[in-house]
Amino acid sequence: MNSKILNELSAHCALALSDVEKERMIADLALIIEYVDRVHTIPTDGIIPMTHPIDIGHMRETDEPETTGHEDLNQTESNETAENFYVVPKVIEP
Amino acid sequence: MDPYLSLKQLRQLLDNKQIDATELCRYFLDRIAQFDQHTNSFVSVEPEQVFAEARNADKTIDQGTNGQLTGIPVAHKDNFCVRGQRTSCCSNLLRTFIAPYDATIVKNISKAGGVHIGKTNMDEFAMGTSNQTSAWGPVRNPWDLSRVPGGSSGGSAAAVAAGFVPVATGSDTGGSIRQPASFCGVTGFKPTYGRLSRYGMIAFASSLDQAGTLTRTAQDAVTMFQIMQGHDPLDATSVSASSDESVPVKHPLTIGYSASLLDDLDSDIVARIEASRSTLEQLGHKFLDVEVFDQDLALSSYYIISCAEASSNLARFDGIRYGSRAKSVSSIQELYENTRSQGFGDEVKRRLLAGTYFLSNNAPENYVQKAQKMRRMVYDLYQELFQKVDVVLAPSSPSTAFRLDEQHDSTDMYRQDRFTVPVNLCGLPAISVPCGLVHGLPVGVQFIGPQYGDELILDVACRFQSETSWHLQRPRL
Repeated sequence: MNSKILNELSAHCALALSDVEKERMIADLALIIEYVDRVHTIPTDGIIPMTHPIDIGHMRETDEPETTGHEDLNQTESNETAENFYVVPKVIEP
Repeated sequence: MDPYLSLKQLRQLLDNKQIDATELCRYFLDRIAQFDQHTNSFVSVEPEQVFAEARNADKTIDQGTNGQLTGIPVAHKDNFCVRGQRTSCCSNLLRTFIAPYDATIVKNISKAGGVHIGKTNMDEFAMGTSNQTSAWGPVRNPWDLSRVPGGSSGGSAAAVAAGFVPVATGSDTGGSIRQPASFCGVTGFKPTYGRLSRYGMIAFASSLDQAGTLTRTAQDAVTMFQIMQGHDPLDATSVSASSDESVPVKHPLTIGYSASLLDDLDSDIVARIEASRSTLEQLGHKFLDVEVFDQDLALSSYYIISCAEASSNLARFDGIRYGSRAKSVSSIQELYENTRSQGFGDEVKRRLLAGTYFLSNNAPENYVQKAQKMRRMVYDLYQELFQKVDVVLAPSSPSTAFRLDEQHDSTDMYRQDRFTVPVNLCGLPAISVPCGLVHGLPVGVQFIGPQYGDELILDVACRFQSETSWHLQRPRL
């Protein structure tokens, strides 16, 4: 772990870390990675990865736009909305 | 009034009109007001709402149409949505979030008449083993206020141990019900993955998260499980045990036991686990020595998988649709980064970064796939084990409650979970019950069952508690 990798990770995570946090996280992540690296010592060829503890398959829904009728309720917790849309800083410049 | 009555005893008092629901709730609210300043187990209590529900319960009891929980207070861990009430996951990011709907298990408890008395403290987003990562401050263990209650369901465990509420909900991703149950001397039940709906429970690691209960007795856990369980169409991972899957309750049993688990434990804790084995032998159970999966390997797999799933699940907290939102930002990226940096605490940031690393091409090897293969190996080992034994006995935690001011690095803290995470990797049911005191602090032992063996391990726990009185011990507040 180093500051270059940490910068890339924090960008992926959308986290802005202070210099003090960065120093601490590099040390902590190095410890965690060192601990979990033991998994690479065990041969696992031919073993099927297990993603879930029960065999449930995947639920699928039709790919059609729909409204729940709960838009107002669902938006009560947003800080900024307008006409059932969420307001965000300008993304596309004119 | 005794604050430690069982659900059955409370039901009798209410049905016989020896107390009404309003008086009962006032009694528990008064205890919380008087003593919770010392433990910090609740993060929100709304007396007006409690009394409104209690008055309705009294009417229902008068009409003779009450359910099993009518008029009985129940607390919910702060990661379960309760409509109209703050559900913060003990994070600054959700400090003002008011849930617009009820979690299914909250709804099921309400249908049975339970009165929602308040939300309990927890580690932020359920990430922790000591309840020290909460944005609302740490919880203190009622047995010794200088010590932690365990985590992440530390508030629920402390509240039940302190006699603030007869039962509380919890969630268990890697031991977050069983470890605090062990530290606080209460009964902590984590059912088979999927048997309690996750709808409305804020996700940490979706393939591991499971709702459950913290109660005084195993019999109360049985009652709560009957009320809370069942298939939920709102949760795609919800299951109900079909007749060919359910595991029959029988007695006596063959119980698997691995002495190697006790190798580096304090001798007083080992003595309590050995005494539990003797009690079970006196009940007629036979023991078989078994080999279990290397704990550090299972734990490593667990942390890779849980951090990876968390980094995906917590991406939704962007400050736009709910939760706090950073001010004075000039771009969408700045909005995301400032909101999340200001909202999340250190432990959450650490796990999100670790999870992102495990998923990213920065890592030299494919951590997640490797961990998922190891998960299969743990699962296969337990499947094989349950061909030979009915139940497995194991310690719930490697220690008793540690002091709040003790320094631990991340991996020391993570190793607290080494007896509990294999259960989550495999989706198994397990229950931690008190099995003694060491230097005045509770110790727990867990019974682990095969998938859908929930009723079986509950039966073992009930029989164990019929022969022991550790679950009746009380802390002095």
